[in-house]
Amino acid sequence: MPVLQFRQLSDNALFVQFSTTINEQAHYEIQQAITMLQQQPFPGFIELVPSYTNFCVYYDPYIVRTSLPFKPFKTSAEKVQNYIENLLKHPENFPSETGRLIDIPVLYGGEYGPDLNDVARVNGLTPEQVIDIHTSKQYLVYMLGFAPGFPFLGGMDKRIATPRHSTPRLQIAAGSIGIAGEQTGIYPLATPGGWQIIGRTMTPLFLPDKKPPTLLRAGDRVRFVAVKEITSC
Amino acid sequence: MLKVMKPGIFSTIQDGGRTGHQQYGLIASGVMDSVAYRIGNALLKQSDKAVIEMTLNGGSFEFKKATAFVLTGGMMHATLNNQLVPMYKVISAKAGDVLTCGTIINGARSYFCIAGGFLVDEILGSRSTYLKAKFGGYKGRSLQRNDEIPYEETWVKYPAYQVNIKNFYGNSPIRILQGTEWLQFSRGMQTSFINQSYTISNKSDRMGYQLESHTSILLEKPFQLLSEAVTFGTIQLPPSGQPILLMTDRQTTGGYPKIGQVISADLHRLAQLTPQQKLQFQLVSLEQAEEAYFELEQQLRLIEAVLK
Repeated sequence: MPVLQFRQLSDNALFVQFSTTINEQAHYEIQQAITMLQQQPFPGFIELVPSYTNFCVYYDPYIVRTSLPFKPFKTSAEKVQNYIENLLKHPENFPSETGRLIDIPVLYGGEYGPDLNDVARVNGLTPEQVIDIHTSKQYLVYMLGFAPGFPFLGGMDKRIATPRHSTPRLQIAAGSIGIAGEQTGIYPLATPGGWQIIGRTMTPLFLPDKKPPTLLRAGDRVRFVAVKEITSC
Repeated sequence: MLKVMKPGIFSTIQDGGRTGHQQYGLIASGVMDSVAYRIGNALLKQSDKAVIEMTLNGGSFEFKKATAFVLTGGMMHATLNNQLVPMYKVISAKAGDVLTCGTIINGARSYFCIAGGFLVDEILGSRSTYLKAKFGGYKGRSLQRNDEIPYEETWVKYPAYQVNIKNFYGNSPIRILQGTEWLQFSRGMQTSFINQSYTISNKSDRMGYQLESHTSILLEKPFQLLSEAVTFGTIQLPPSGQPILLMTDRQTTGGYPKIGQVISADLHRLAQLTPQQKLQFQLVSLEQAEEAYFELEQQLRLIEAVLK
């Protein structure tokens, strides 16, 4: 395990920092750490939220303080830090890559991808080349955030990087596949947004009846597959 | 069923929130004022049962079955069939009775708590309304005229306790911790941030309050922050220099620098601030924040234990 850095987000939330830059090594260490913490939670543990370089653990400081032994700690924060430090001192041997590979069928261009031609033009490519490049990679799901099931994906080819629209669209349809700078992602819900929309999937990302309630989880890999017609899943 | 005759300005069904799913991007939701929520449920000898959160102005409701209810949170003028309804006191209602709630006089949010709770479907461990995803609560939206909200019939009589809640609110400054990016702001900016007062903008809702201030709080060298967790009470600074205070319908993650964090013991007080109201911050240590939370939690647990 790397040297961990701790920062309090609040009096009931603690960041455990693994790295200062986005990289797959840190991602796997975070995945491993949160698996261990979820399997061996401390009294007062509520939930955790992983992101690119850290995870945040939410806890109830009252329960942390009243669950014995509290001494020698002066604060609940100190006690939680100490627990996490000790837990992660001896990382268990999980396979480093536990995620699944998930294919997302995409209808590129036309009414579903109104910005495909612009993305091609900006990068001196044909729309077909943009589709080839976008479908040629596997993208790591670093984290979910922004909206339920919205994946922050890593690994997009810089040849199709395109800046956001300067004025966001008021409504982007659920399932839209977008590019923003060097990121690509999928909108799970209809929301306003400034991303360049190159296609749409009919595969739902947010599944409120399922546990967990999302198609994708941090650690999964996503592959986009170009399809010609709507196939509802 | 409870029939909604008038919904009020903005009323939603909420409970303690949808915990455990933030790692999937699912927002926490839940009541804004958890103190009023807990005391309301405690007076009905229950905990974590779904309530109606009313904003600025209450609604009118017709009971279709006998029950008991209590109003908590911001003070409002309310009547049951023209009989005055005191706040924080359990009242029995029978079929055909009409509860009429007026404007909230001191505060922004009042809670209509009912015996057994409002029995809308539970999704992912909570009955709270998630407006953007259009699920939870009553049909995933705020209440409208003629909605019929299910609850269980009961004839149980509750003791007429009344709880004094003055100690839980008050006008003292909102206590904050240094935010995770506090040190990235210059000394001068830190001082301005703490010393000036803020006005809650009209563009404030359950997601967040926009704060307006005289001096914009700016970074000397703006930087990109990777998206990471944010929470209830996080004070973010977008490039405009006007802070945003995150509330219960906030997103799970954010990328703006976090200059401050409201302590847990003062979050319920934020819920009762109205647009155009002034707000002042006071910096405290982590030890003081934990102590304040411990004290608040002890008082609430005592009330819950006594009323049980």
